[in-house]
Amino acid sequence: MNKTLLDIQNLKVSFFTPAGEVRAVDGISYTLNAGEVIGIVGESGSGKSVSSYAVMRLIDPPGRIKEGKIMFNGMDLTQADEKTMQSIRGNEISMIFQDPMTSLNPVFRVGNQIIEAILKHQDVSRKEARQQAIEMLRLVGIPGPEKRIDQYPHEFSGGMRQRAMIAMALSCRPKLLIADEPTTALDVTIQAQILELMKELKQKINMAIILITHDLGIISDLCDRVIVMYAGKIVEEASIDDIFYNPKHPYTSGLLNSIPKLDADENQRLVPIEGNPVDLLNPPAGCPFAPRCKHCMRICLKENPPFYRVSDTQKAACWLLYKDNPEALEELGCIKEG
Amino acid sequence: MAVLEKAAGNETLLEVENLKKYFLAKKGMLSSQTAWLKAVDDVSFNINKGETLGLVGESGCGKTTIGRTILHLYEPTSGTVKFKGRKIDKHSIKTLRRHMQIIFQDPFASLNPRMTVGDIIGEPLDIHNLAKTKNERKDRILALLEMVGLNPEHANRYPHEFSGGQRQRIGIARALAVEPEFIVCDEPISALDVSIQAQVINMLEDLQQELGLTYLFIAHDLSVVKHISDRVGVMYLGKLVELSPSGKLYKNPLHPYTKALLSAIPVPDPNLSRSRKRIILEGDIPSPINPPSGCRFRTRCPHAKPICAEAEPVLKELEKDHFCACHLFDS
Amino acid sequence: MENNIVNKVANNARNEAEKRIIKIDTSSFEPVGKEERISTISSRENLTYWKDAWKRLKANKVAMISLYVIILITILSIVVPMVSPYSYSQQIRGDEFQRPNWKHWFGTDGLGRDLFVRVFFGTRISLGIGLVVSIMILIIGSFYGAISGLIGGKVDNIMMRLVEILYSIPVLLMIILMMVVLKEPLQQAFNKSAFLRSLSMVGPGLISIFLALSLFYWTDMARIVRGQVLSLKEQEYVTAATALGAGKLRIILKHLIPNCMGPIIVTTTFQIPSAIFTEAFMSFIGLGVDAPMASLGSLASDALNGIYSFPHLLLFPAIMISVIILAFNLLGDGLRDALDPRMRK
Repeated sequence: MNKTLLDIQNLKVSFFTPAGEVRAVDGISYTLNAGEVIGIVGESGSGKSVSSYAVMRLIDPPGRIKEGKIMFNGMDLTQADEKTMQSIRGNEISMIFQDPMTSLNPVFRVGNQIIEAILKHQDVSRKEARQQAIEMLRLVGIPGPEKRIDQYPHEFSGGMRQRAMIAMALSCRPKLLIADEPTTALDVTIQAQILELMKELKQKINMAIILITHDLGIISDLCDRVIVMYAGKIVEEASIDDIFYNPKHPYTSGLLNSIPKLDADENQRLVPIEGNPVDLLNPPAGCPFAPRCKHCMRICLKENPPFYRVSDTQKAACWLLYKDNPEALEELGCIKEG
Repeated sequence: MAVLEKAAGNETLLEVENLKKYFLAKKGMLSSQTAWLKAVDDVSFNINKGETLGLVGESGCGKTTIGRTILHLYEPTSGTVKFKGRKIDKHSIKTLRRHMQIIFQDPFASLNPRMTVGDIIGEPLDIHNLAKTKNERKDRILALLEMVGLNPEHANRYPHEFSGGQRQRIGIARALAVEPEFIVCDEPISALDVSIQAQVINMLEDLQQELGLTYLFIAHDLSVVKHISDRVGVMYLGKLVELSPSGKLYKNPLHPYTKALLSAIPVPDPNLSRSRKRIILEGDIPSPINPPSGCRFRTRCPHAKPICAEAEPVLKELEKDHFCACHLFDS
Repeated sequence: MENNIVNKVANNARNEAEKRIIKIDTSSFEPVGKEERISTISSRENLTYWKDAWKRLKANKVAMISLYVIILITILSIVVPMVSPYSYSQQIRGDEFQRPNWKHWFGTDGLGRDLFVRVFFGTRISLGIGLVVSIMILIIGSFYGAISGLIGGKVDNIMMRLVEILYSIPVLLMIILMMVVLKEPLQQAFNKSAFLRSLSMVGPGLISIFLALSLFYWTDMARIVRGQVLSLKEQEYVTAATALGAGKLRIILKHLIPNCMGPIIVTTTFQIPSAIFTEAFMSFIGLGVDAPMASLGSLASDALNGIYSFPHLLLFPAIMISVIILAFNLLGDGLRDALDPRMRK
């Protein structure tokens, strides 16, 4: 059995804007084992990125972690001071971002940026660090790393920059890598290269990955487990096969139905999810998805549904599941029939 | 698509012949030397009335430039575009603007933030004097809003009050205001949330049926293009490398680039993801300022031969309606 | 396995913390129709750009105080000369060189003129100059900049070189020159035409200040608007308007200018005090308004004669200039924060 690396408990992150409180992450809990790849899927405003930035403690004002615990290797990161966080960031937890164009500093050589990262966290000489940096660039498939290491970011193409970013993120062998839409800004064929690289690295290095994306195709390619988020809440959490072949939450199945498939029949019409995304400044009272849900029931408009255990590898927050099987409730004893 | 039967009339609406569009590019920040960026380099195709032609390709392939050059938003470097047999130039475009419209990718940048939705949709009516009275203008605006699934009360609001999907609907209503026959859809859903994309695709399909529209649908997402298009053109570095009915293209891709592109799409199906073997292309897309000689794809092509560096392959009809430009099929 | 149990325990602990009781009955699971479902989405109050900016400006105390001060001074400068028992040019014999007292709140000058009226009359003239000059700068600068930016290419090149030439000329020197040169022809023009004669009330000195300032100070505005237009014209809504067949004038008036209104307003707000300041300086060195007309600058200049004996003659106009300029600058800062689109969420 794998060891739990990250245990997030009832995490709430809010942004306090002049227009009111935006509950970007509204009470999510999940665990991640060492070496596991978990995908967080959701649309813009679902809180998928914010929840991961919270793990790095990179929430800037007016945002704030309001409640909850982030247990990383037995330490609560929400209570850690800035100095501790600095020694964790880039060392034990690394992050790669969506835009490789802006995440490398244009005035420093690519190699120096990696070397600095290594020197900051490891007790090695500059020469050794340089050697390590070259090895990392080789690992992420940059040809001629001895030469490339002294080049500037603008001499790298988009795909190469993302590789360099990955090399930098991995340079200290982190236990957890957070990848925030790592391929969204890239072209399809370059995206395929990066996905292949990540698959390879996943096997070579035993590290846990949180992959944030809106693309279900990428999830199916890389992940072991999937968390589906909607309006700051987790609506379904399951193994990858359960999510794609046996989705329980209407939002998950709606998403799957609304994407065109390459092998589909030519005349097949798409089945969209109706309505518009939630206004987080003004969320609905009950289940956030209720106003867009075809199966909406009276209770959905009033009460946010608790989680139901569908199987050992799958749970979802939907009142339909209670109707089908009231026994499978995770939060015991909160329902009163009358 | 069901529109295939309708398009069987095969009446050509738009003819693009040897279209080239080069942009002037500076070589370095400090150097005064200039070079030509060959965004679109000798591309020809036709679009039939009532059909949807899809254009796919990666960044820098020239698909957006083609759309904008057709609408004469860019002056073509050479080559001609004919709409209903009439050549599009500086003068004819003034009257043709009413018949050809465009829908943009970014629903946040394509609407003027200082205008109400009613004024945005009303602007084309004002420009072309399509509404004689104030009441007529208002009625037209409300009818257009209804056509794209928005409420009448939305007319007095400002764009920032709407979500991405709703803004895209406003953009579509604006394009429809002049009752065009032909619409360039320039990545109309790429910036939208997944759950909203299908709404917009379905609406575009419905509008095509109702109004008999012809689309040039530009996108980088092949699964979307396949879904909506009757025929698909694949572009690489300013060239059209393959053109085929969409079903054929996906069942039997001929060009090595098309094959790689198809296999690169991540599919939302774990079993398929595990079992299929991807074609991973080496390297990056070369710069369109200095493209490779001969076949532009040869630097990344797994089947490149010596001839590919020497001669440029021409687009040939290899099967019925299925065109491909590749030396692999030289007999 | 152990891990799962730990999780269970943790889960239960969490549940203890926020145990909620949900009551359900048979009606809870009745399906809800689409209409009712959608009606549950309440829309929040939405603000236009201007309302939103106003809201932010209101939250800025310094800027609001400045705004109130400006409004107060403007009202006083209109009302005081109207209701005061003395006129600005009236010489009261026997009341020369008085210190502030109940009859003359700010005292009187060497010719027995009431300083209170003169200071507010001077404020009226100074504010008027600031306003008129800024409006002229606004019109010339924004059109020049918008045209230059929108057409681009060679036209832009030539128009901007012209701006640079104007920029490289020492402005003060040119203004002095123009005021000297313009004064005579203006005087003659007033004498000839009946229409222009009505303007002679204002005086040729004042008009040449208007002209000189607006002819040289619009370059900043032109540059700012051009920069804005250059970035705005790449926006897709401008392309959309072109694709719809909109002409250049329509694009400038409907799309470009409304979208650079923010920077234009901010620049204008900063332009007003700078025009007032330049005018005060001109008058101070004796090139401004003609006597007996008063501006804050000419008042300060006149006060120099008896500065050691009657410092209050300098003090009041000087305070007024400082307050006006400070208030406009602080308001300008506040407006920049309120109108800056980057601040918008």
